[in-house]
Amino acid sequence: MLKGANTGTPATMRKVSWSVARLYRWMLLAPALFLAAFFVFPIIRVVLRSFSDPAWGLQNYERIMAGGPYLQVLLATIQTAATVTALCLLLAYPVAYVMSRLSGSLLQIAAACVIIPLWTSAVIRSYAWMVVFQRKGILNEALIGAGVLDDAIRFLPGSFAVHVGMVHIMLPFMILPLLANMRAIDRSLLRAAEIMGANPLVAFAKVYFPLSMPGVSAGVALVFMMSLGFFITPALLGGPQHLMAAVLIEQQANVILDWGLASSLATVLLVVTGAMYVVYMRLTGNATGNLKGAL
Amino acid sequence: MKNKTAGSLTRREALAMMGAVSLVPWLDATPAQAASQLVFASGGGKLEETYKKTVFSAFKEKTSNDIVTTANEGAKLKAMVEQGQVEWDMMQGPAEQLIVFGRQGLFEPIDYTNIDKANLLPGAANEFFALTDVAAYNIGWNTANLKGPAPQNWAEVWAYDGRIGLWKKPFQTLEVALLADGVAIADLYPLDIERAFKSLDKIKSKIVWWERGAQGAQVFLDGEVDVGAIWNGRVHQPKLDGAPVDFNFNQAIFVNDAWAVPKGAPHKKEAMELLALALSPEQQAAFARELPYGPVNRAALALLDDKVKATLPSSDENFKKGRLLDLEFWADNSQAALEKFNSWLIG
Repeated sequence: MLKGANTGTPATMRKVSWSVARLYRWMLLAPALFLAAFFVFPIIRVVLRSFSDPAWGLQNYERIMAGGPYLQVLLATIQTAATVTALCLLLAYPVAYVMSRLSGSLLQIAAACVIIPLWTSAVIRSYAWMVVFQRKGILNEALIGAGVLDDAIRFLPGSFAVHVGMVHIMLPFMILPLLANMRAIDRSLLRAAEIMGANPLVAFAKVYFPLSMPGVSAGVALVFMMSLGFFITPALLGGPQHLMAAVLIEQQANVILDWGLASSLATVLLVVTGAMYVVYMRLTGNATGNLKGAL
Repeated sequence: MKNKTAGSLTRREALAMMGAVSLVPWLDATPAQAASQLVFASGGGKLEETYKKTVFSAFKEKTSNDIVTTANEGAKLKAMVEQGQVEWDMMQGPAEQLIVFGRQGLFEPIDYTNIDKANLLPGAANEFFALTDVAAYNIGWNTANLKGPAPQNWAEVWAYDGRIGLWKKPFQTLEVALLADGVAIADLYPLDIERAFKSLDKIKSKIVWWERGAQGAQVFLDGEVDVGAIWNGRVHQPKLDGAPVDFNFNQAIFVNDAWAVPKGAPHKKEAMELLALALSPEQQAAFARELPYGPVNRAALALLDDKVKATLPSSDENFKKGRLLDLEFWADNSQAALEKFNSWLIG
């Protein structure tokens, strides 16, 4: 399937292509309406509510700014999401590179290894990591058994456990866009670079890596945004310092029922995410161009 | 239901049969009344299972009304009431939450005409909800990990050299922090929140926070923690099954499940009947036999034998060891305490 995407369009197809393209445009109408009704409209209501519940004004934002845990939690959330994204990129890049050079059943097996974990819910995988990391868990027992440790290390709750758990869950979302991008890179360009005298390292740095940037952009954006909303994994594996914004929002929305504050927290998170996305896209180049290449 | 013969029936015959079947409960019930289906929002798990086994089945027998269950999310309750499209007839939840919801005007006033209020625990018959059971947030320990004697009070839990498991919420946890710091149980409320955090500061590096009940039980069973606080119902059965866990009710904070009828519930009258049934001595006793959450109706205790009573937080013997959580205090202070608690956690 991925291979086919690479082949050129035969001349006979070209004639009908413009009408197909126009049809495609109309096909976007239904999803656009769907998004407007079930995504844009509710978000507008959330934003409005943040200014109007319990009364019109900025009181909810004043509370967030007035100290308390809110800004700190927001910062911790962004920090955790950024670390997870960086770790995912570091791990996923070589995996995607190797996978992009595989074919046939090897590729299928590798793809299955990436995709199958997605079939299990994040809750269950977080509990599974608890079993691994706990005091009398597999990891501690193995390290003690091998004589590496005398006494059990306290992994839970902690930074190490929460990062392992989150990276494990997010990895496929980094590998897949990278893979799609890398399979589309024309390898003869690398050969050309080498003919021109570049050693493999330089060829990679100057040719391959820049060409893979659209995949990197897509993967980073996807993983970062999803990590910002993480809820259950930091709650189960993380320590107090991993209190995530989603946890605070849930407390306000579901337990205290202060929807004004919940809405304003959600709005701040949305604005911060949007702003970071814009900055990020400016830094890494033209957003639409990159995404076109990646997807 | 009768798949094999259904194909050979004519439509008219089938309709006639269905009509006849639907008449059966009519013939049975003395006051002629159409059976309805009540929606009960609960936290699920063992609690819901026990409701089904005891109160719900008795309700079905008595009134022929069915009860279906759904998840008791506060956000959903608020959205339904705001939009005037309420699907739930009854909601179960922790009392310290329902009192907050009640103050926001999300519940119908409870009709106590068929309920014997005199026998209920003081404070059980609230305007917008009724307490239905008594659980305990109590001292627990892992018997395999424990070095030395079992802790007999919260000060000994705090002093324990090891890992201490606590619920990652201010409710109940601030109470035991104050008890550990030497506050007399009679003077607990209003909570001195600053002092409670100072008490938690002393053991900050020893605390292993648990977020959910099932997880809390697991950290005790697996020996992830040595001592700490846990709800009695979560470790009762594992202890009987031989897991290395034990607990006592010394200085326990007694907490309650409560039931409330959402504002604009479609079957308000039936819901009030269901509540009256759930609070009857017979049903309270039946519930307590299944799950060690004690009755709020004192008359139920007379129906229980000593073996069961020993497991219940609200038996005369156990109830004097601890103290009931002050709902009014938490209704006034939840938001502020939660904010401070979150700041403390991350600070």
